[in-house]
Amino acid sequence: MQTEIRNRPAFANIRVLLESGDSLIAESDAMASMSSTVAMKAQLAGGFFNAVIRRLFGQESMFVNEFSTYGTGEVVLTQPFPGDMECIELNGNTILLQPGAFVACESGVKLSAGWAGFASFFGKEGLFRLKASGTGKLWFGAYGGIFTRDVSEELTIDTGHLVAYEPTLKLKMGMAGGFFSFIFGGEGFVSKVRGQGRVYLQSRSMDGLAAWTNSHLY
Amino acid sequence: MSNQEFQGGVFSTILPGGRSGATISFDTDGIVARVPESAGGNTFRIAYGECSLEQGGASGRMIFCRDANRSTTVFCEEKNFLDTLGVAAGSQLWPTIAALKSQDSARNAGTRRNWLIGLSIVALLGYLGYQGVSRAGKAAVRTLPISADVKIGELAWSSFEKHGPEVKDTVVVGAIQKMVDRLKPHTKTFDGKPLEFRVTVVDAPIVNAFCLPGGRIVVFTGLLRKAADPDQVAAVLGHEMAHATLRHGLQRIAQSMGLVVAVQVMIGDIGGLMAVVAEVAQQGIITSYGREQETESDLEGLRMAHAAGIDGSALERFFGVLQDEHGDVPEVLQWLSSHPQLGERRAAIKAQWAQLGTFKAVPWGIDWAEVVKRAGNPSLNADPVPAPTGVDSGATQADDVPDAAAP
Repeated sequence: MQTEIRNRPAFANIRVLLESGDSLIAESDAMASMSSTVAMKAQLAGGFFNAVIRRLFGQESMFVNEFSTYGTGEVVLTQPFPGDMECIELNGNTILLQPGAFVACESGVKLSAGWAGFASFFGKEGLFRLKASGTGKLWFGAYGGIFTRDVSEELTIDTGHLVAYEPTLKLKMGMAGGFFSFIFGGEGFVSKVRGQGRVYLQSRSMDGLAAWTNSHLY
Repeated sequence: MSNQEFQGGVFSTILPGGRSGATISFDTDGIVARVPESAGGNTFRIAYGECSLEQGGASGRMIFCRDANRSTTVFCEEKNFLDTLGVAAGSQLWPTIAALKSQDSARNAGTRRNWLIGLSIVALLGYLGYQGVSRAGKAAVRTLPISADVKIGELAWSSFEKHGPEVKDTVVVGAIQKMVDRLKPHTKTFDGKPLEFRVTVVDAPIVNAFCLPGGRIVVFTGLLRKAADPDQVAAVLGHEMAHATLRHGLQRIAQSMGLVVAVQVMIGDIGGLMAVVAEVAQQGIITSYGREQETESDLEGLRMAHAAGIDGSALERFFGVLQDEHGDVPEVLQWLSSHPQLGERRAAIKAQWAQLGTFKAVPWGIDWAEVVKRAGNPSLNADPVPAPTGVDSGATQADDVPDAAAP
């Protein structure tokens, strides 16, 4: 399987060249185009329970699509919003994705829903997050550009900017500053990431866009 | 030494990207982590004596084993990892492991406590929400004129499956009318004006009667045949008429359909309400009352009977017949039942009737044996009731008639 992320960073999409025996799992509705030689099959994402959790709390579809071919074929995958995509290779390790970030993975990657906690929920980061583990490539997307930070102690992240993080990190909600800053500083709640591990962040926030758009509507 | 293997990971500067998944095992001297061939196939070892342990990660249950200069960290989240490490490392790590386990227990207790508090808050909010909707429903119903009850009742009646032909026999219908006429002057409505009660007797083997909002009373001949005397039927009628005077049907609509209907009622959107009524009438919501409403109607019906010179304790006797035949819901399911238990109701009726004091029984002047006889063979005097569009008038089982077993 050959893969390439194109049109980065604003309008990233994944071009995948499948060969016989290759299999690719992608988020429902991610497919922009595919060759006539490619077969697409819908399946529940990680079993019924995980699929329901994904749908109810993860802002994802209950189903994912599996692409395969008997010869060779091309699939182009995209995401609904403008922004970059990232590909990481899992070697038996795990990554946690925020709701809506998952785009695609190789068939060796196992997807399940993981409890994120009430702190995450109240910080508008979702009650559940997608847990990807196993072996293979994983693609996820973001609104805006993607940048990483390797955390060794603590990192403060504004809500809405977290895309993915390693399970070695603890996520807590807190205020950016004191009470006065919380009310008037415009940051409100922030995520405080503690421990050792890597976080993937998006340079734009969907909530920020929504708030900005709303302010210009009336 | 343990042969057990665990799945986890390694942080190390010598790995591409600085991290990898790993298979972790224990030998006599330390922790061994092997990364997959795809990530280089390296093996890392941290001696027990150099290992410092921490607990954390996203779940709070991940164990980190770091070497002395913190250049290599092995981590794992599997359940028995810490215990197995403790056994393998023995006294070298046991004090630290014991402290981590103690912290873990304390954290679990805290988590359980937080869940309990959270669930209690959710339950409390649910209860307060229910009470709020219930009170809003009652308050909204009070703002409506009684003409709304009549419209809703007639609309519901047109939607009900009748279960049989209407009985026109003057002896049967006349006896019921006499009972209603006796009770009517003693009804209390919110605006002080008595409801216009209209009686319909339906030939069906259903031991039941109901009164729709606005005052339409429907009595099934099954009830007449089951009752031992006119007092029992009159007591049931008093109970059903109380549902109408207390406006339980409208309250049920407001409660069942939520605040939207309550608001519709409050702003006087009768047209919108009618659409809702047409929907819920099919589901029997209007005459499917809750425990509180049944109890309220029992008490109000007894008061009316007492004032009208009717032996209201006959209601208790009638429930006795039903209880002998059908029994109560098993005790473990009682809280699920929307109706109070018959045994419970009988005791409450007895107590309330005794509290009302002595009364002067007024004779009925009804040939009850003749009424029962004619109710048993009404076909000679019955006019078929045309079924409303889409309604099957041929059904004989009261599956959509509420209160089928206990009025």
